[in-house]
Amino acid sequence: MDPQIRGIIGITHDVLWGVGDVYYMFAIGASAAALLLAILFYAAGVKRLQRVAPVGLIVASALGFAAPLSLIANLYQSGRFYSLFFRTHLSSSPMSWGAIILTLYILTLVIMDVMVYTHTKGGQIAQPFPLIGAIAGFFAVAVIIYTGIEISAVRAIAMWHSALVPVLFLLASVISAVSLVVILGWIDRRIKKEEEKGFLGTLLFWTLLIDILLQFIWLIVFIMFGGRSVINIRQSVFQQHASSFLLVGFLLTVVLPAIILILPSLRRSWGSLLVASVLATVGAWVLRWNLVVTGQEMPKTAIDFNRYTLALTGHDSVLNLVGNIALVIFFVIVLEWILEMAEFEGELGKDRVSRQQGERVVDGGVAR
Amino acid sequence: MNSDRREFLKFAVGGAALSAVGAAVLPGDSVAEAAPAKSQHRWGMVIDLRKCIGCEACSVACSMENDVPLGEFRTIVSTYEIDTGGQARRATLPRLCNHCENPPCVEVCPTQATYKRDDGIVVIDNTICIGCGYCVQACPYDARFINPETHTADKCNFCVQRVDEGLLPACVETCVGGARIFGDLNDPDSEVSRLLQEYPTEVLKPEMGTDPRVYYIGLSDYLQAKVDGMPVPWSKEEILEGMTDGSAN
Ligand code: SF4
Ligand code: SF4
Repeated sequence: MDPQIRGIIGITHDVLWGVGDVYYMFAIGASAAALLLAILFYAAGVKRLQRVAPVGLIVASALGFAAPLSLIANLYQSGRFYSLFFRTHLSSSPMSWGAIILTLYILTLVIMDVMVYTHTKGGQIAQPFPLIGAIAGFFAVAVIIYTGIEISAVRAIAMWHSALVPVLFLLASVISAVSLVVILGWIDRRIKKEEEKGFLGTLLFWTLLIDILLQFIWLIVFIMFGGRSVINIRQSVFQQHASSFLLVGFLLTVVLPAIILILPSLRRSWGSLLVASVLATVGAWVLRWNLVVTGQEMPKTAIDFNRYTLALTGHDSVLNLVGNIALVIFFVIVLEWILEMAEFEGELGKDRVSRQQGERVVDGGVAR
Repeated sequence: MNSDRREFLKFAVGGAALSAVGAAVLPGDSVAEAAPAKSQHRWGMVIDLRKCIGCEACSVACSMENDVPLGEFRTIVSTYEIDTGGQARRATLPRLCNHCENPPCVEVCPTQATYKRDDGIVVIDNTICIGCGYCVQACPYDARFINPETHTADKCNFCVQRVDEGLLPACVETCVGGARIFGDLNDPDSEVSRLLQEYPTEVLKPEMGTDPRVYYIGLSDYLQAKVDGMPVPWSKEEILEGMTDGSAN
């Protein structure tokens, strides 16, 4: 018979990686996947993504430039972050790899921005740049993979140590990227055509479907086979955080948007596409939250759960998050403006050449 | 002083001179002292749970010796009430860093601020640590925390500053029941080696593959891994609040 154990003296620990880290993982994942979308046009020349690509690039750049600042701010010794580059530990630390991958990713983002700026003529790029695109795409994939591996490499936390985690991160990244591209494309009115909306809606729908399946498997694996943590995991998923795991994290933000987009006609309608995108964006955030924060709440040795308190100000706080989101919005405005300028100049140039040649200017989708 | 302590001092004395040189060239309260080059020692601890009375003297001595901030612990004696078929008894389990042979905390550290010395002691150089907390996540034993004063990772270091001077860790020195025994695992004549030979010992969470160098005599199965049961009825926050508003007594 199993004995009844009651703790008399013991300590619980505070959750260390909180809202700032969740935000970083969300933002950098969305950035990398949005860049992959943009690359499909800029590097691979997929024509029907012509208007989607600039939106993807703006989402990728704004989030990609701002998110690492949140990561640095979340270090307890932020001023020493540079030592990540000269005191490396590449033989075994995913975070050490991450620092290098992230830096190269940001560098390729800047190069992509410059290439697009200099090559845009009349809303079209003069010619695709496959080599730069391939390199940028490689680092975008590497960024998504490293964030997932960084979490799943931690054997000590039962909820993290799963090969499914990097795949879930990849799916959440694609979902958030497509959703944010839809939302921004609607706001800046770059995305207009049925075909473009249909493409994004279909991509979102299928990614959500795969996500439903994998999240289901992931939950079942932990609920059934969570080892010594299984009691805590069940308590967490079915009691303490049932709303976050099952209601918000699964039904409302993964299953519901997939249902909304089930009919191809609904994928082309702004109303349903936007509602599904907003829900799915929340879902991509909640997945990271459930994994990262709730995962740390699982006790490693103690009986009781660790606690997370969301701070309003100071280290890892709501204020940090708001500051970084404000920075993202600032980058979006600046990038929209720069890209518009490039397109406008290109349009004028094309217009001038066309007029000289007596041709009719074909709308490249820029002049509005 | 018993013979083990004399033995211990004899072993440690050679390392002390070298580590003093190390300490002189390193700044502040860094624990980056290099262990004596290619140390002959492999420090470890045996905790004889039959002798532990759960007095927490070790926790207090550790906090005093290492200036551990209020509310954090490098070592603590977890205490449980265990009811087996109506028979209640108390069980104690001193916890500390296990100075693992395969320490996952060291593996994940992106800056190598935490590392294992030649003598097996896992240390953190808090002049390098960036406070990313990755090692805290990776340790399966909850042995690490971010020190709110240094803003770097912190944990038991077997009182490396004492060991290198030929002294015992503060917790071992103070243990009233003589439950904590520290010594050289490489020396077949040390008391730790003798205990390991004489008694069956267990380590915490062997399934993690960390190969701990803290061994327990008399450890029950249900305390070896994560403990399942009813939680401690008061929280750390409540206790700390009580201490600051004076209502603790
Ligand atoms: S007990 Fe934890 S902190 Fe200590 S060496 Fe092992 S993994 Fe590292
Ligand atoms: S908190 Fe410090 S010691 Fe721990 S992994 Fe990060 S840099 Fe290394």
